[in-house]
Amino acid sequence: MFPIRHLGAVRWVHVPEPGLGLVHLAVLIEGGAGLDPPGLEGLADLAGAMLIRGTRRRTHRRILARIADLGASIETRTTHDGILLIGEVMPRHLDPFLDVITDCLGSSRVPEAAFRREKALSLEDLVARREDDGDLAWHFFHRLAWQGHPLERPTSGWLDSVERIRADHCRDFLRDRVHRGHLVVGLAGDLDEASTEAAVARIAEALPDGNRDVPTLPPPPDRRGLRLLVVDKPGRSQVQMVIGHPTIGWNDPDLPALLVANTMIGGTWNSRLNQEIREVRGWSYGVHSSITAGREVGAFAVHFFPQMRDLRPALDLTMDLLCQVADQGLSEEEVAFGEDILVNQFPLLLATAQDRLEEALANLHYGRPADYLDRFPERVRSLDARDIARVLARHLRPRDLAIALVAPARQVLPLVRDLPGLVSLQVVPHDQDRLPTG
Amino acid sequence: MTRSDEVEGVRVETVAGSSPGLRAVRGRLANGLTLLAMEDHSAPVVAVQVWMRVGSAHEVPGQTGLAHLLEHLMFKGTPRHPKGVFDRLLERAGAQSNAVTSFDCTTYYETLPVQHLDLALGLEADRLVNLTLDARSLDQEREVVRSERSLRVEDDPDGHLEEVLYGLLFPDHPYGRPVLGVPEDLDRLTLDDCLAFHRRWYCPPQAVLVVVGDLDWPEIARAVARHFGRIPGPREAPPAGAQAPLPPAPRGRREVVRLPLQAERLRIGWRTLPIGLDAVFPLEFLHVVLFSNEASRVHHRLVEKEGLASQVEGASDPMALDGAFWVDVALTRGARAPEAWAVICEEIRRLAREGPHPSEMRRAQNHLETAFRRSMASAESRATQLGAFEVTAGDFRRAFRFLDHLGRVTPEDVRQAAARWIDPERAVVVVGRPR
Repeated sequence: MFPIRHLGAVRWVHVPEPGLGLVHLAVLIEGGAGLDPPGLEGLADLAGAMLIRGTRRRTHRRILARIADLGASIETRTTHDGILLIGEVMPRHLDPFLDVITDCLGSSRVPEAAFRREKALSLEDLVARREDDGDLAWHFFHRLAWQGHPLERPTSGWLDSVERIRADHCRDFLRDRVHRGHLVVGLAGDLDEASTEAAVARIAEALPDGNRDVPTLPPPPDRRGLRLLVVDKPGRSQVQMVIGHPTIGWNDPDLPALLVANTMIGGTWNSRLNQEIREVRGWSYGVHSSITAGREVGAFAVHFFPQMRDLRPALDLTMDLLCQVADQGLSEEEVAFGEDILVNQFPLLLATAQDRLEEALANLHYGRPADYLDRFPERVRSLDARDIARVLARHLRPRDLAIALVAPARQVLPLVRDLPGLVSLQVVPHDQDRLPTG
Repeated sequence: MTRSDEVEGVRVETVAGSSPGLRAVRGRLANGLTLLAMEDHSAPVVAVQVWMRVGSAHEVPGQTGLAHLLEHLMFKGTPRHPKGVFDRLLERAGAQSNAVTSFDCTTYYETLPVQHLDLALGLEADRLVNLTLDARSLDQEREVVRSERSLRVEDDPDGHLEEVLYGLLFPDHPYGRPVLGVPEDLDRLTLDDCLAFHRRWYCPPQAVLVVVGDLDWPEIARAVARHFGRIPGPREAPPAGAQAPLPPAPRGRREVVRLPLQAERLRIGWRTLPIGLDAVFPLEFLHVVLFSNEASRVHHRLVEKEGLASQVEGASDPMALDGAFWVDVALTRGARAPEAWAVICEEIRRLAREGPHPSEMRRAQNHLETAFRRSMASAESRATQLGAFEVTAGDFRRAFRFLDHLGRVTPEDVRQAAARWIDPERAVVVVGRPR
């Protein structure tokens, strides 16, 4: 669907949409927070942000001013697998925009003053997360689910690890990672393929050569039983809750079947969880299950937020429902329904140039086969209820769950102490960012 | 196409757009329903949106939250499509659908593969006039709305501050009351209240149907006529829009709210202008020059230079009857709201005195043009623009007029707007202070 081109070691993709009036740019530097040295968690994230915070030719302020003058935007995002620089510009300003982008990628210098400011903002962000119960629940769910695995370390780092990062750490990181061997470039929108190729060549020219070196993740730890973490936050009117476990990534052929199953477990309005928790009982405004897959591993999680009085019945119902699905699979009708949703929704996932660019980059980023998007509907359609049951039995683990709750501990503990299958129950104050030790 | 064109009973009234690729058509059915249509052949999808000209501004005191509760209940079924069927049919067809209630309107929307246009139109036409409700559904959905209010207001400092700010900006006016309703009102709403509200406001002349997608105009018109053309017009004249008189703009109100925050938060607002006036355009420039991006004056001072804030956001928020201009500042730990407010006042007064630099005007023009292009980047966002301007400003063409006007706003317009509309003396300032 979107052929991958090569310019030397650089891989690139062009997603045309004439008449859009915009060009979207995405530059992926492979290798992200997974490379953070122990004790310096948050390094890739901070180094990525510093890409656009000062070069040998431009101060941070001049970069901001130039981008603003063009009516354009740039920002960086870091995942475990890479640093993504994304931008948007009107076609008539593409040339000066690329001038800034190549400068940032090719001669970023991590100025001390800009670094101190950016680090201070990162620390503020980490603290501000405590204000958002949903974010807090997800943060602690991931720490608990991935305990003992590299993904236990958050992309944005810990408060103390970010404190330890110095500007020269960022410079070293960028020098090691920002080269042609790790570079993937995508342009989408109102420009032709020749212009895209020329833009890719400009970006590539600004970078040194280098060999591709992409770290891989180990399999998830094998943890048994229910592990529950109460994030103690007083004065809440409802309980934010995330329940789930590590699972497979894009490189596992079972993933499409797991996506179909998730659709009918809690991925849609008509899923079992949404019907039982929201539609029938009105226990939570939202309830959703999801599979977030990386290259080698992923996570299955259910998120909802009942009132305190509904917490225990909602938790029991959710775990019963997951056991039922894992043990018995889904009905033929549910599987057909889930397949219809995924196949019919497929055009919507690719509706805009930006959507198509993201999917094309995901193919590269996650090592999906080149024909993944072309064959996705067909692969989904080829599955039947037995395939789904087999995959659920293999990959859904309703008796081995990590559960993170954000609520006043004094009120919530009596409600969850006797959960069947509970092997650990811990409490952490909401203003801590790590799991409790011991 | 001319004004006299008629397709299958849809009378074409207006054709307009900023370029051939962005041309929209307004048509009218005999029953009074307004149709806005735009061809978008960039993907095999279609966006269908029903904009009802009724929102929380049309509620009477004591019944706050009624428009929003009814929005939830609109998914509960009709005799032809009983409870659950609506969502099942749409979801199976690959639709992404939902609804949203605001002060001025209520919007029901779905985006789906283009071959399922008839399904979406049939379901929307059915629930517009044939909604059935029962007490059990009402009670369930009341619980869901309580949960939504906990999520968005009671457990969310930002939502809480917004509610306080709008309450102070619009005292004793529907714009000052929460769209989700106050809990005591929500508890009291009955099935009869909901049904009466539906009967009163949900009829073809109150609806603007927007269809944007991979279809030609005649195909859209025929499909719309097939599903909505048979709905009779109302026997009585449609009700007038929200008529609540606007209270005088407050002057210099200050409020401190204790919240579970890690650092102080500053939420500032001013009353401005309704969306239908050209005088709102300089407010967009004001927003860009002062607040909207990392290069803006206030962001530079507060975040980059003085380290008092980690984030500055804001917006000009023009509505049907009046407008608001608000700014939200997340302070860094240890910084105090009065320090940040003093910087903001200084920058506003400087702009009101000296006006923007020509380079800031060019920057704002480019920024706003990019924002316009982004708002036209998908069938769904195009439909949202058309529907919002038609319902709140009275004419979808204002979506394009904004682009035409970018080059006409002068530095003096922006200077005057700063002096007149965001005078620090008139500001309503709400400080969120950590408990």
